[in-house]
Amino acid sequence: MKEDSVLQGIRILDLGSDISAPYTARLLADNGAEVIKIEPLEGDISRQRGAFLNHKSDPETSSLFIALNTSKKGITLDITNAKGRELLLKMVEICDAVIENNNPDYLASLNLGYDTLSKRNARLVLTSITNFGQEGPYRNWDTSEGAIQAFSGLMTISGEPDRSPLKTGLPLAQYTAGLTGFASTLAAVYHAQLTGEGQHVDIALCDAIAANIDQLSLAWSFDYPDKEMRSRYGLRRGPLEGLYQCRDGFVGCTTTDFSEVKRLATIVSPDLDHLEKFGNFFYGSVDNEDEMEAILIPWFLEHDKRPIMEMTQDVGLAYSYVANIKDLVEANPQLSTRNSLIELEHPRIGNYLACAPSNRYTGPTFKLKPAPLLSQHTEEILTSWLGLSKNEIANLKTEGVI
Amino acid sequence: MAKRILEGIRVLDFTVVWSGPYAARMLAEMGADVIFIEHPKLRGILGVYRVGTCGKMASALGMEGVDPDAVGDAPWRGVRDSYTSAFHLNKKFASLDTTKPEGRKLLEELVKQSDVVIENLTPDVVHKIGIGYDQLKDINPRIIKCAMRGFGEGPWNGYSAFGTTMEFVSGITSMNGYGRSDGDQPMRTGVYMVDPLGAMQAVGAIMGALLYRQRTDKGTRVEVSQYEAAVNFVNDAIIEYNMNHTIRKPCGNDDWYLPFQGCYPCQGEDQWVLISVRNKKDWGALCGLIGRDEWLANSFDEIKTNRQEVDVAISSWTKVQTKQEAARQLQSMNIPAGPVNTTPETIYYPPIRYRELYKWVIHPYGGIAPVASMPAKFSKTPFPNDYEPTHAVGGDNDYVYRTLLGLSPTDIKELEEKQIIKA
Repeated sequence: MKEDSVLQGIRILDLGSDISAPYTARLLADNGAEVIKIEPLEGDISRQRGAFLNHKSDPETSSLFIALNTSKKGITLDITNAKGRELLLKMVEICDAVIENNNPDYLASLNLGYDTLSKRNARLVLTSITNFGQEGPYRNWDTSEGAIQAFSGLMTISGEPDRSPLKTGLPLAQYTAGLTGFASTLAAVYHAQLTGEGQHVDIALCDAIAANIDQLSLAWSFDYPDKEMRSRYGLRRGPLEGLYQCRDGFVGCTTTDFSEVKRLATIVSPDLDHLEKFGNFFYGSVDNEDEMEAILIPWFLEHDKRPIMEMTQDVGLAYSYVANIKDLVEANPQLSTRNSLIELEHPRIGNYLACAPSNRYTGPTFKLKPAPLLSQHTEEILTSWLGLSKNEIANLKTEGVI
Repeated sequence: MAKRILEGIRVLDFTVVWSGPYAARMLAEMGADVIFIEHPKLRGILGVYRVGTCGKMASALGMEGVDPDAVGDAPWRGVRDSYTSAFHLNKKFASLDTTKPEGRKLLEELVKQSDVVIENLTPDVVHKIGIGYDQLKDINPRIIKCAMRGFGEGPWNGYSAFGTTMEFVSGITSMNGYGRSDGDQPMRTGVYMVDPLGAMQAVGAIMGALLYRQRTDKGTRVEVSQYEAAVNFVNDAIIEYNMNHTIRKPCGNDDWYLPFQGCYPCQGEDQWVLISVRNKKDWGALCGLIGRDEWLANSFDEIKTNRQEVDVAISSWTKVQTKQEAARQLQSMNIPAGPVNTTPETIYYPPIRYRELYKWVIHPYGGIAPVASMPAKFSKTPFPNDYEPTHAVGGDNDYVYRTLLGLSPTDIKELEEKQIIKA
């Protein structure tokens, strides 16, 4: 018999939009929780973003929405309407957690704040992801992914030294906060199952990146020089520490000391080995740097990225190539052997690849499902969760609640 | 104080460097009794500490009184390296040589009393010290084993996986870069971001396993591929490729989903502010601030065409003031903006300070250090206010061997003399 998934029986309402909270809910859904995505009648804002099939804006073909809502069931519900609000509260009574990323005061303004929800279900976990947290004088500040990366200390060390700081292409703060939501929500649900006590989990995007630069902050307290705090090596810090252009793309290296340089020399050129002038190599700093680069740069240009990764990894070097999206999809033996990109069938965009959970269990299994069309499961959920009749559902439709 | 989430859960921690120790530390912040086990002589469980922790690194950073040839974590300000000091907090510290039969026996006794075993070692080391799942489950069938891997089982399982290695090949790096002028030239991110992502993924994975055990009374092993935790972040771009066969490229300091964004120089050396425009309202406010009301009526397409002229005008406004002042003025007009902060500036940035994200840990060596706590606030089960610093190697042997395992002082003395639990 096939085993259950690890989160079998956990019920989640996703009241989120755009990236952060939907990503939390997607990770929960991939791991087997039953996740109901509740969209306003006009749909999640992410349906207006992302790439679209044939570059034509269409709420049913947004790559962003489909990526973030895979494995969920989708309903529409106007929670600003009194009847819609009551339906939501009925669902809250029988679920384990609600995930949301509205402005801090929004749910409370609809009388759907944590206090209201917890009166209906004392075991409920409410996970709220916001820019600056639930409380305090900054909670309603306007901000953006870029501004967060700027003030969180990531940008100042990203990019090239003689150019402006650089934000990451990927909205890293929002995804990181979403991942934090996954771990924290499960922790709070575990607590609720043990003790019967639910709680409000407060996650802020302003913490998401700032929490992950702290090996530097610790060094700072140990007298790290201030200039080092602003040093950017987006391309390369020195020989074998950073990116090299190769014949068909780019290769990335990180190299600790001369013993690793010697291992590379067995592949590249005996010169690197015999020239003791590179003997004080340490993390990309070395005397006679130019000479070393003069040997390395042409070598990389003569080789292709995949063979370079294989050759160098075979001698124990932590090198890899810069994979673009095509490389990930079409030529990645690790992902294909593990079946880590799973083909799902979507009624509008056809087959697409969804990432499998990065945590795999011995025993519990997982199964992904395609992202829902707008309101695809409204009737099914109102029937199976709340026992509404066909008539009642038809009336709600007429009244514009669903 | 309210009972914390993982009170009563015991974790045996065999992790090294960043991602693993950070994952186990988050379990400790949530109240688990985390016992970090190291070899009595070698740092880490088998001397696998290497990156960022040796004497050469310390002396390269200009630290005095450091033996540049020392390996392990001893040289950093005398006792512990920066990774250990940041991520082995709120834990207990036991030393144990598990390669000796008597050491293995003690480990087995500890496993009987534990709920979770976590490691981020290579598979051969895992079996050598006796913490493979097949070895553990016979001792304690309810045990949860978390194996944090770089790539995970598969053809790349044996590959060296640092934060950078995994980021390069995850698709994230291919979308980083200045874009426009540089074409496809990629740039790496400044921080080895895949380490903390892997840590957070592991905490979620362990919580899932605890819920599973709660429901079924069964233990399990979970393998976390930190690489795939990063690949999961680019699913949007993968689907774009599936639909249209277009490869997503770097966009510089623009934002995929905003009409206008840029990073502008401010007063002083290498000082910058980032400005975002979400809509015409933001644009109007920005035009007002920089004294270019005549651009108000322009469409975003027109603005894009005249980007260079626009950037010059914004820069001439930003560069005569500090980044903090520029950000404050923009913020007061509700335009999203952020000063490009260094780490100390981040720690003191008002919204982050208000959140009390950083805890000030008083180390017995090296003074007071700021350490970012797990970035989540639980209303009923808050984290402790005071974070317990890193202890010496074997600093909690008494708790582990006398209190938990009930050994007598004579037994303990004998084990020390045989160098099983002490160097």
